[in-house]
Amino acid sequence: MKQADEIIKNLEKKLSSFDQSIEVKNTGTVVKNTDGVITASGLSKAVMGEQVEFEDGSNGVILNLDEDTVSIILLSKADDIKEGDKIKTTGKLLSINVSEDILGRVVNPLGQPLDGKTKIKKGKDMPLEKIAAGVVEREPVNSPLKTGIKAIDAMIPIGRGQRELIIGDRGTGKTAVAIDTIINQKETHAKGKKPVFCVYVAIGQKQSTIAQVVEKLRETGAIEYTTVVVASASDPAALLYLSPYAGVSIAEYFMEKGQDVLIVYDDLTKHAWAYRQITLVLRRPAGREAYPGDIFYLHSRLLERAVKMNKQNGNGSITALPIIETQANDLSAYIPTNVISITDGQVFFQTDLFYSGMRPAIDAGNSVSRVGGAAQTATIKSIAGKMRLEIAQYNNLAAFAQFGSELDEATSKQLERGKRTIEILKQFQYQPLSEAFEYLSIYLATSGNLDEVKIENILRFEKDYHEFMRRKYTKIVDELNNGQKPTEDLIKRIDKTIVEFKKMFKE
Amino acid sequence: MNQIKKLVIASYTNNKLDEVRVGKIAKLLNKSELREYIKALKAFESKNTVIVTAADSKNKSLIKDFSKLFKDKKIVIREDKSLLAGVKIEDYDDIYEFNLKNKIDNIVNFISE
Repeated sequence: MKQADEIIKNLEKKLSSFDQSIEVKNTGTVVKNTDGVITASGLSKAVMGEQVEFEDGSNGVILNLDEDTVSIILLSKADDIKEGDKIKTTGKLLSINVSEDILGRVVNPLGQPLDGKTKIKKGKDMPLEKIAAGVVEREPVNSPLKTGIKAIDAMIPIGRGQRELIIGDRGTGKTAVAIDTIINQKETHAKGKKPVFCVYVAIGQKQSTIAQVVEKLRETGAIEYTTVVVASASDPAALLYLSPYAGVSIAEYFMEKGQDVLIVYDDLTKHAWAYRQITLVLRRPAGREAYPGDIFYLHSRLLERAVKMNKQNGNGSITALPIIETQANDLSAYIPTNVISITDGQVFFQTDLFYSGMRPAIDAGNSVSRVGGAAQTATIKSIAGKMRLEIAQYNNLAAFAQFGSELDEATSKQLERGKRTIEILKQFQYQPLSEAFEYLSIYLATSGNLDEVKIENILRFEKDYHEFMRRKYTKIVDELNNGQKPTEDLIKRIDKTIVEFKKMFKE
Repeated sequence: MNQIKKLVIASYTNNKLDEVRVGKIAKLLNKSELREYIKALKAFESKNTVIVTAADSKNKSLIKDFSKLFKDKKIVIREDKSLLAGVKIEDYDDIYEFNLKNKIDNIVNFISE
C-alpha cells in the first residue's frame, strides 16, 4: 500500500506535466457507413493514419484523404455508428502500449487483453507504422536462430534477423513448424544465453485454432516469453490488416532494448485478403486478382522491419517467419511470388510429401535460405554439407532407379543410404531437438551407422539412442551443444557410443 | 461536383445568399443535382458561420469582438450555462475550447488515467 504523501506527490508530478494550452479540436460528421468504412466530412486537418474518436467512444483510423471527405476504417464493430455522428481527431498516430507485462499475454492488435487478465501495464507507446531501420544501423545476419527441426537447421538454417518464408498448402504443417520454433526458444532462456522473445500473430484464423495454439504454448511453458496477437476470422477487416503491424511494434519494443525477437505472421495470405477487402470498399483501383496496387508495399514494409541491429544500436534483432498458404502447391501465384521476393528464403511444404509420411513435409529442392548459412554453427555446418550432398545424389539416383534396371552394388548402397538419411529427417510435432541431438541424428545416417538398420526401425533407433546418450553420455551432449566443430577425438567417442548402443538395440 | 461548387459561389451577392439567384439556379437543376446543390449550400453556410457558445451571452460586445476576429464570417451567439465560464468557438470543423467546463473535464480525465 502506498503512503498518502507518495500518492499526492505522484499527483503533483502529473499536474506539473498537465498541458494547459488551449484545446483545439478538429471535428467532422459521418456522411456514410459502408461495411466498416466511414466516409466523413470536415476533419480538414486530419492526417493519414491518424486515430479518430467517435461520439460513442469507438475508434478508427484515417486511410483516405479526399477533397471534401475522409475515409476511416473502424477498429470495432460498426453497427452503432450512423449518419450525422460527430468525429474528432486525436492528434495521435495509431500506436500500441507495450511493456514487459505483455509477455505471456494474448492481446488484440490494439493491445487490449483477450485472455481475461488485467490491463497491460503502462509502458511505451509503439507506433504501428514505422520506417524500418536503415543500412547504417544494421549488420549482416551472423548468429543462428535454432528451430529445433533437423531438416531446417541442417539444410535451410535461419539466422537472427532473417526473414524466412514458410509456404505450402493448407494442412501441411506450416503452423506446427512455427510453433515448434517458438517452443525451441525455451533453451535460449537458460542462464548465460541470449534469450529470444517471441510474438505469434494470428491473422484471420478460427478462434478454436488460436485457442489450440495458445494452449500448446501454455502446456510447454513457451507462453512465458511469448505474446500472442489475435485478429480472428470474426474480427473486422481493419483489425486483421493492423495485426501484423501491431505484432512487429511489440517486437520492436524488445529489439530496441537489445533483445532478440522471433515473430511469426500466421498467415499473410489472409492479411492480403483483409487489405483487399478494405481497399475495395475504399474504392481504390483494383489490380491483379482485385488486389490494390500497393499490395507489394503492404508486405515489404512489414517484413523490412525484421532486422539485425549492429552493436552501436543495441545489437537486437527481429527474425520474421511469415506464413503463406498456397493453392495446389502453386508457388507462382501473385501473393506467394511477392513474399518470396521480399524474404531471405523459403521453406516449402509439399502435400505429397506430407501424405507419404514425410513430416515435416519440407521439399528440400524448392527450399532455400539465402543468408542463414553464415549464421550456422560449426557443429551443424560440419555435418550438414555431407548430408545435403547425399540427399541430392539419392534424388538423382532414385529417378534412374525407377526404370527398374539392375543396379550395381555401389549405387544400391547409395540409394539405401539416401533412404535412411531422408528417414532420419522425420520428426514428431512439438518435439524440437537441441543442436547436439540434431548432430547425433544426422551423424547416425551420414556415417553409415544406420545402413544395417531397417528403415521402419530408424525413428525408434534414433529415439532410443538419444535417450541412451541423455542418460549415459551427457558430457558428449554438452560438448556438442557448445557450437564448436567436433574434434576428431569427440567423433571417435561418438562412434564408440554408437557401437555400444547397437549391441543393446533390438530390431 | 466542381460545377455545383461554382453554382454555390454564384448564389451569393456581397457575402449574402441571393434568393433570386438561388431560385434561378434551382429551376435549371434536376432532382439529384438539386439535392447536391442544397448539400453544398449547407456546407458552404456552415463554413462561413462561426458559432460562439458562451456561459453568459448577455454581453453585447460579443458579436462585435468576434466579427473582428473572424472577418467575412457570420457570427451566431448561443448560451450554455453548463460551460460555467468562458466560451466555445465552432469555426466549421475546428472547435476552440476556452471554458471552465472543458478544463475541469480534462483534469478529471487526466487524473483518472
